[in-house]
Amino acid sequence: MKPDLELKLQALLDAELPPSEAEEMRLLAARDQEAARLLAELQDITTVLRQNEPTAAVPETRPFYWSKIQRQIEREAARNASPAPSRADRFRRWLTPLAAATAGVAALLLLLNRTAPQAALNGVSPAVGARASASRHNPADTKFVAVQETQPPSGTLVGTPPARIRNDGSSFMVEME
Amino acid sequence: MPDQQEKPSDMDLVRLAQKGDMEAFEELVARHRDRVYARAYGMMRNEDEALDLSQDAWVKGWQRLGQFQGGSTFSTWMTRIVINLCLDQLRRLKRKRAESLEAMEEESGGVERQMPVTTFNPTEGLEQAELRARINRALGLLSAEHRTVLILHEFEQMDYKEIARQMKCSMGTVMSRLFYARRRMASLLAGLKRENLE
Repeated sequence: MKPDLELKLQALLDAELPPSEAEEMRLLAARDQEAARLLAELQDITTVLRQNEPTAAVPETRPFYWSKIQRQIEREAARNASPAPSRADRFRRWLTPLAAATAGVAALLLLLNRTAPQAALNGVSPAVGARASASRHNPADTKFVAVQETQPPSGTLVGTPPARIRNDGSSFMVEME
Repeated sequence: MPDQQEKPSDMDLVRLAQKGDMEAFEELVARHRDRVYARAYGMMRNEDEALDLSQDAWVKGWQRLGQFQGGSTFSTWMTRIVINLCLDQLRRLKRKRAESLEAMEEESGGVERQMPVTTFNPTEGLEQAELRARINRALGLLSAEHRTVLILHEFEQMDYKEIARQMKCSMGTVMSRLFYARRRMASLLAGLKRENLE
């Protein structure tokens, strides 16, 4: 039997066909044994299912089952009761870390500015002094400072007295001892 | 019996619960929890999932209680809520797993189309408890899609259009799935009976 006829026979059983098609299917079932048997099988299984729906019981005691429902109801009520964050709250939440980061950068710049002249006064070139201060923040510079301190520049004889840096207030002078 | 006369109706309890009376709602849960759970279990075939979904249904029922006007029984209204939750869950599960071979067979015509019609009553002479147990076992052997369409049509008495709306598919798909599910159930019940006779 064609699949569309099978589905129409089923629709006849379920009262889902318009009257004209329903009559057509009734006639088919009356003259065709296969159609009649199929219709009977569908009818039987429908009847059996509707009269014998399987049952199931909650596998928990009444108080325990209810306690979980009650807790969930209360939790969701509390969540719905707490107001949504306002636009100002959301802006504040975003602004706080930004302000902290800005303050940190400003403090670092201030520290660098103060360290450079101080390093020169202590006999260290301003550049090295500044890098030494910054080396805590940049490991690459730490390596650079270590080279400056342990290896003399190329062409310098070993044992050459160290250079002395003088500061006369307006400029730096390098003197060889 | 005086006790029965004093017992409030579901609608009385609903009215109290709509005013915020949790005790009245607890009584409604106690009265209908097995039916709601059974529907979830029938669709999901998993005790833990059925418990979780039935509890979620009761929470939703409480939250939407204001919308219940008594157009259907409270029990039917709650069953529809749990069915919707089960359908959502089945859709989530379906997205996670590949289409089953069974579903592919259905699309290509299905083996049940070539199956001989069951010529004897596979349930004849069985006690109702035994028959229910067999139906339950046979339902468990269907795919989720076929089981769902059968449950919605035979147990919830939904028409094709309503099932298509609930399952978000065409009416043609509903008809095809229902046909397959019925024929497979007939075959499974006959098979279970034969196993017993042998």
